[in-house]
Amino acid sequence: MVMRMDIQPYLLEARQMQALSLGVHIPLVCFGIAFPAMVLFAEGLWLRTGDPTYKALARRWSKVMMILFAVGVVTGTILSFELGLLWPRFMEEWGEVFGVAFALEGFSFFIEAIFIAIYVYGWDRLSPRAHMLSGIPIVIAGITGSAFVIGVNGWMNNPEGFDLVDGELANVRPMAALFNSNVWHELVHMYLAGFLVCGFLVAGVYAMARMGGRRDRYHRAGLIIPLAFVALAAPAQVVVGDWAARTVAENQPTKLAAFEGLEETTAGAGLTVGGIYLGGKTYGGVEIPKLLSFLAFHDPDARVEGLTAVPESDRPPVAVVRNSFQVMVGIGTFLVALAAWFLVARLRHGRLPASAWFLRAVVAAGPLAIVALIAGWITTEVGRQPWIVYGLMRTEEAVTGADGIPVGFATLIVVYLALGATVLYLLRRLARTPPEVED
Amino acid sequence: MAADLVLALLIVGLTAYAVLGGADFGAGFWDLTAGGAKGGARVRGLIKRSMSPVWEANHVWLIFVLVILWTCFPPAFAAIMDTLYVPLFIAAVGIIFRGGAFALRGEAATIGEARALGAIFATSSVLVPFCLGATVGAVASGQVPSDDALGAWTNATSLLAGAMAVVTGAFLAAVFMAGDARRAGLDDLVRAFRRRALGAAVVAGALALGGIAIVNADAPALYDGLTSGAGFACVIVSGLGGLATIGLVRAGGWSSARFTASVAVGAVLIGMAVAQRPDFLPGELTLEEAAAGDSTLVVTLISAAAGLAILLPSLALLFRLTLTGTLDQEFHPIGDEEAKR
Amino acid sequence: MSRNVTGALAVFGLGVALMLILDSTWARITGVACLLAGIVLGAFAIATPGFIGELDDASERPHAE
Repeated sequence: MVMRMDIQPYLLEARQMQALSLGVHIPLVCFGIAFPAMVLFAEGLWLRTGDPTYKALARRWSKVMMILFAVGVVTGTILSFELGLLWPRFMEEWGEVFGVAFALEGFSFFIEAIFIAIYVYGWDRLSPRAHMLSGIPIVIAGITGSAFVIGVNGWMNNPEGFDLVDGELANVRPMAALFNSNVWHELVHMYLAGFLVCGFLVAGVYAMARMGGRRDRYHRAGLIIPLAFVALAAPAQVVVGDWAARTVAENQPTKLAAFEGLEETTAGAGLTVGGIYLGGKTYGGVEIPKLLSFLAFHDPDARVEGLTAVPESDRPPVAVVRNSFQVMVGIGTFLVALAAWFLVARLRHGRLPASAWFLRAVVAAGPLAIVALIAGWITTEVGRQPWIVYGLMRTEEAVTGADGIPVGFATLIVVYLALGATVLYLLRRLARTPPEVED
Repeated sequence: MAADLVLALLIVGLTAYAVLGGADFGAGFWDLTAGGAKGGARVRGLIKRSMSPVWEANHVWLIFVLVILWTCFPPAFAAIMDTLYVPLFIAAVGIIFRGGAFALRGEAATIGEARALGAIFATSSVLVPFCLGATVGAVASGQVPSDDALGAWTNATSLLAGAMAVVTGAFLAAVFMAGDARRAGLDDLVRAFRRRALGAAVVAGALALGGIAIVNADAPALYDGLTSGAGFACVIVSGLGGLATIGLVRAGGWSSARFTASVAVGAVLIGMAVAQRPDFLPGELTLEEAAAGDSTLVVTLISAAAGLAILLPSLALLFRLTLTGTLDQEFHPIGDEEAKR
Repeated sequence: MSRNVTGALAVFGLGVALMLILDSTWARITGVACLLAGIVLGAFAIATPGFIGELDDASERPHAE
């Protein structure tokens, strides 16, 4: 294995560039994951009731789905380029182990692109049944595409599927690498996150409409359908988060220690909620005794490894990890409460919550869900540092020696700002266009 | 053996991208050169109508190529990325702009917005194929690996390859669009694109002929490969394909013309791969040296087979629905009537 | 509460229990399946045409489900 002893001067910029691209791409992916199911749900309501309101909603949504998918594809293309441009050593050393996953992912979203085109352009051209059926591959491809990409990330956090003989790769088993021990919880966690982000963002649009006095069936449907999905997805996400944390406790103890900011290995470790982490201590939080051991190992006296168990050069930036984790859990809790509010009103009183605060909370929930999403990814990816392949290759060993990184980074920032502004501007205008309900 | 099969897969993917993605880029070129708002409105309207259902699908081939490269030929991929990051980064940014502009153009409500998005779309449609073509040219003329990040892709062969990529794409696009116009019954546009196709063919022919001298001087190893043995055969096939396409264009045989045009492009790419045998990176890495271990190659081939088994019928469905007009949207001239929408 | 809703919540609750209490692979697989099934069933039980269909909800009549 090649060890590069010279540190690339632009390592930080390269990492920020990668993080930026991921931060732009992943929220878009949420729409590829979750929106198709909601669109089909709306179409299903139309087919069931014959009410053109649902058809108009499904058509409007499928238009938005296509735009966001297209932007997702191009941002994803950039990511593929960046993997090679920024981390050529990583790709060179390990590409043959995990690369197949990307090939399979490529096929998945190729299929998704095809069927989104058929679905969006096939309204009223295909028979109603054929049209709805053409939406199903979109849903499936959304699952498989994310599964394969997450397979790679899971592998980076827990490298499996190969042997190292004298520092050289041997006995590479790409399928074992892809179906590693992390992929399952990461996939389910991300899949649900997709529904939370997409669901609350879409609901937020219609919540705003409702606050503006638009209470017709079209806008009610636009509000209720996504809320119906997130109602149980939010609590489910907490349960899956618990699963994820327990897997991290097993496979990446240093990362878990960083979640909490746990300095010393402790039996019966407590969990500190809130507070600010500075220089090895958390100030101002509320410590709940034994909770960390219990959550991580289902044993309140279990031994939790601390940060000091590994040399300092092997520890991630703890403040970033801990704060992101707290943000994610905090927002997640808020979303569960909001979902519960909706559920209780719906199930016990047969109506939407009466308070205007509910609608305001829903409007806030969309952007907050994105913040939680990114905080979660920061937690796991920064928590993986200093490793790009956990325990085997450091990020600094993987990075390119190219000169123009700061220029590239600056360019990318400008590009994304322009793209983001344009997308938001045009989608907002689309949102203001009255629904095209046929008679 | 496995490495050869994967290389074949790579060439197939690259050809598919050169033909389908190239035609997409070429459409952008015609958008750019369609003329002023009024004069070019009908041309632009047809371009949008033709591209809408298929453009995203067309571009996924690029990811396919990248992924196979980094999975199955990792040292070559790393070397290419190390050396050619400038054109590749420009291409990546161009792809973002292009995709975004195209997707959002449908929502433009004023002439100004439509034209701004259109200009971004069209300019990047020329920049991206040029940079990607130059990248391929750089690899073929033995410029990788190199420390000279600027010089590696600005030698004569690379620039020629870049120009050829743009012109070929324009040619393909014109052929495809003429067929689309025929299907839509828009005779004026059939004539417009026929003119363009013939024009592009002339330029492509001139570049090819001039290119002979350029490659001979700039990259003699490549020249030798293309003028002897299997490489030469590919060049001949490409030339025949090109001539056949021109004949078909003049006669109005659009469906067949699509096919012969694709053969012409594919043959050039196969010719280049064949010309540099047994090297993957000429003068630096042979195919065997660049290839990953057998287990990875085999898994890739199996995955590709499984993926293609699902993908190809799906793609065929999309193209069939498109070509039979099922997915056709209404034809709207753009730039003129846009403001009224 | 309607049967649909009860069913959805029951399946969901089973999933939660399996995920939190047990640790085996099979418990996880079944647990996740129950959670996902619960979410889907729940969506159908919640977003019914009847509930959505209120044209003017100033009255906000409780809806018999």
